Amino acid sequence: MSPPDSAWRIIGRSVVGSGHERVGLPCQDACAYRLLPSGVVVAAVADGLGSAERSADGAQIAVRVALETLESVLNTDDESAPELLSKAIAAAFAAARSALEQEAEDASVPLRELATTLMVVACGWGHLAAGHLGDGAIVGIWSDQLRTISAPQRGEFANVTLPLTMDEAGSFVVYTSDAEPDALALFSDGLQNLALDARDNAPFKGFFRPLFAGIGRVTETDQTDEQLADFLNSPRINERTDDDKTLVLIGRASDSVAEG
Amino acid sequence: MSGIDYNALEFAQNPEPRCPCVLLLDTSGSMSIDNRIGELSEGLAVLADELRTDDLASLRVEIAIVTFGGEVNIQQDFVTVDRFNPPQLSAYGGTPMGTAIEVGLNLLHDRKQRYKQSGVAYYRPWLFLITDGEPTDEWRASAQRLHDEANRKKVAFFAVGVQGTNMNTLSQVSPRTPVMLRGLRFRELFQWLSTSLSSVSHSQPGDAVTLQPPTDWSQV
Repeated sequence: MSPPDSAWRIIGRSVVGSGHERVGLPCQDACAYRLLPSGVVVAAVADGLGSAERSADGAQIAVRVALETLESVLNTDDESAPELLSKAIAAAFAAARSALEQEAEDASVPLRELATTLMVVACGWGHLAAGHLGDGAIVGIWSDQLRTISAPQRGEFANVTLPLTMDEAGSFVVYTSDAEPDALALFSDGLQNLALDARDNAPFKGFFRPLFAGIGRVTETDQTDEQLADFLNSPRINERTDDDKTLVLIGRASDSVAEG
Repeated sequence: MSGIDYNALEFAQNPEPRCPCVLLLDTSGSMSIDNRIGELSEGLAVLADELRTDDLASLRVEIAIVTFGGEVNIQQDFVTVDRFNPPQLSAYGGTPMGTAIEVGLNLLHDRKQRYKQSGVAYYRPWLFLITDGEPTDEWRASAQRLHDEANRKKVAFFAVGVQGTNMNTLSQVSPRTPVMLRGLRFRELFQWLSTSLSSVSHSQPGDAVTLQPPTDWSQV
């Protein structure tokens, strides 16, 4: 939950999919986020691969380590260093990958059993940097213009995703912008059908506009994380997907009530 | 309003045109006579079951329920039929019908605003009132507003009287001649309502739809 004096508001939840629940699988998605005292907001989302035995752990480890890394790199007063954002993203990917290798070794399991996707963002100091490997997507809005800044990445076949545990894990996509967005969403592939046009990955306005219109106004008293979880568990969403679902929303704090 | 309006996302996920119907249900003490209230609840279940067999109506017809017995309650805010769980009603108190009509008209007004904001088309809303008595509150101002809105074709109003109703008063409340329920034929009444809402929801918004005559359940 966001401290009220921060320039950003952020909420996020991962919920287990109805299909996973039916067969007793845990939620293999994970997310973490934080508002740093330096004014930068950081977030990570991971989606453990259904085909990997310990992917739920892999996803948890990836977001925890990615976030710790972002935090340690970006907890500085040096606002003149926007390139630090990109460096922090790269460091987060490297650290998350190393942590998975370490866990594989400690637990004596093949690395691929911890397979997970990873998305991270760092936003502040007038800049945005994002890194992305695998499916899921990141959508932002700049002065009313919605943009998919990182589309789902897939292998050659529709059911193959690119995990952090693969040999080419260094080939994550980095996106940077020298303009902070007004709002940003990171989501796992469980929400892709609802959020993106499958033909060109364009964001659906009807999905993002209500979310982005409200995120800047969420307060602690709203219990917004719970409301987000209820939304992600609602029948309308479950009609369209039985996969795990993660949504992290970041928005510039607005105290003015813009619309009713 | 603070925070995120998740309800607004309902229209992103289901952009079908909406056919809103508010049921104004008398749940005053007299509705316990002959278990009218039980039959009425049963009727709501019939309505839900029948409408649900129609895939298009399930996504287009939105039901809201306002009860008036002792006090006025929004028992159910607008919900599409696929997510409508019919309530079990209980009977108590007087018959604040005038307030219930106000509340129903306000609900419809707000809902239409919501449709407009979300870019969703809608059919002429229905207000469907069922009573076995007469208003115990001040009803003339509400009836006047109802007549105005019905004349301007803002709303289609139907009134059904159950045995014991003061049909004379109900005729003054209702812009259209009220219908008397034959015995306790709530089931048939709600089957008719389901069929009517289904045919409306299959038309184009704005088209005139001819409804079946209520011969199964009405008393002449």
